[in-house]
Amino acid sequence: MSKMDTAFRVFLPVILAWPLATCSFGKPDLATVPAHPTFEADVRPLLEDHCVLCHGYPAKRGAPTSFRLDVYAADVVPGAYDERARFIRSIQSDKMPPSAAWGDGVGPNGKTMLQNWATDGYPEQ
Amino acid sequence: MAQISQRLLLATIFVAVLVAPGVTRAQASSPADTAPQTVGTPTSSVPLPPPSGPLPIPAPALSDKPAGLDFEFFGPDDASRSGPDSAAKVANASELSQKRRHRLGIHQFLGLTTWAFMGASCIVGQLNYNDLYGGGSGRGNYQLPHRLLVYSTAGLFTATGIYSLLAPQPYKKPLKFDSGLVHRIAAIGATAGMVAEVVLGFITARTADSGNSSGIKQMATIHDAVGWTTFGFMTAAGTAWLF
Repeated sequence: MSKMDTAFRVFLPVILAWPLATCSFGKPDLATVPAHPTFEADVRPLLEDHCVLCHGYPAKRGAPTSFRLDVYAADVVPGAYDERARFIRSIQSDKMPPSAAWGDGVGPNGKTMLQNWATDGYPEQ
Repeated sequence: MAQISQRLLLATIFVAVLVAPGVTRAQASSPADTAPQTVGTPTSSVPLPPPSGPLPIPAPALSDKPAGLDFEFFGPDDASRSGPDSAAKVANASELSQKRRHRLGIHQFLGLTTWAFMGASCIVGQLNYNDLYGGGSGRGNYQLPHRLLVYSTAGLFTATGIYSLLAPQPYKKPLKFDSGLVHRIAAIGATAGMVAEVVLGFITARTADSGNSSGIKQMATIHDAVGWTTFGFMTAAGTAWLF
């Protein structure tokens, strides 16, 4: 076995893994940006696609138990409206969801929609 | 009186022990054995005709050398067969054999360590699966231990494989069904399982980190099953050398 063959065998997994690392595993971005989004019609579906897996009730996968994003107002613990400033900032800065650093976060249209929701005063319906 | 009887008994046993081998030899040997025999003939154990008849013509000896244990089982040495090129070849093969033994020794140590880490990864991974998808608390308490274990296992597995691939092969070995072949087949299965595990684990983790819940439980279930299968292949690869 030549050195070239050995090098090829050793680095083959790395070569094959490279395309995998660049794939996207998150939900796709919104097709259109609603001008006047509401929580029930627009924001909650977005949060279910990107956040509620961990930030539901009860919190899962090591997420903080102090709030939930699957409801608008405080129920057992504070809801999305109560945490609005913090969660929107985390999404806009690609801090959340964790895969946002890899390009699997909320897309540009989703971020714009959240901005519009904030401009309109965070309406529920 | 009793002492005399004891001495007589001991003397009898002593004489019996001394005489017995001679008796057994005498019983084992037939009268024909006392007749002159031809050396090296296959019919030497057959009773010979009585000495009154004409003596059989002795068969010619197969070899001039007397039969003994001084023979070369594998034939003459390669080095003595031809010139200095063969001697260099033998020396090179010997050096490669030493290198191979050293690398496969490390391969064995790494393989056993990998096996232990893989077992721990499977157990902690199963606990993680039960916690996240099997009706557990869902807090993810086993995520970090599982992640650390699988990174270590993948690294150890890669190192083990590299040491195996880099071991030189001084002699060509014909393919046959033996422990080595079973080990190789199991190792290929373990490698395929490990690659599938890394890919599935990576996809599952990235999907979960992106908050995407679609199909995540199915992927985690497959990841879990493939993990135990891979551990089975590793166990088979290790135990193959015991037989």
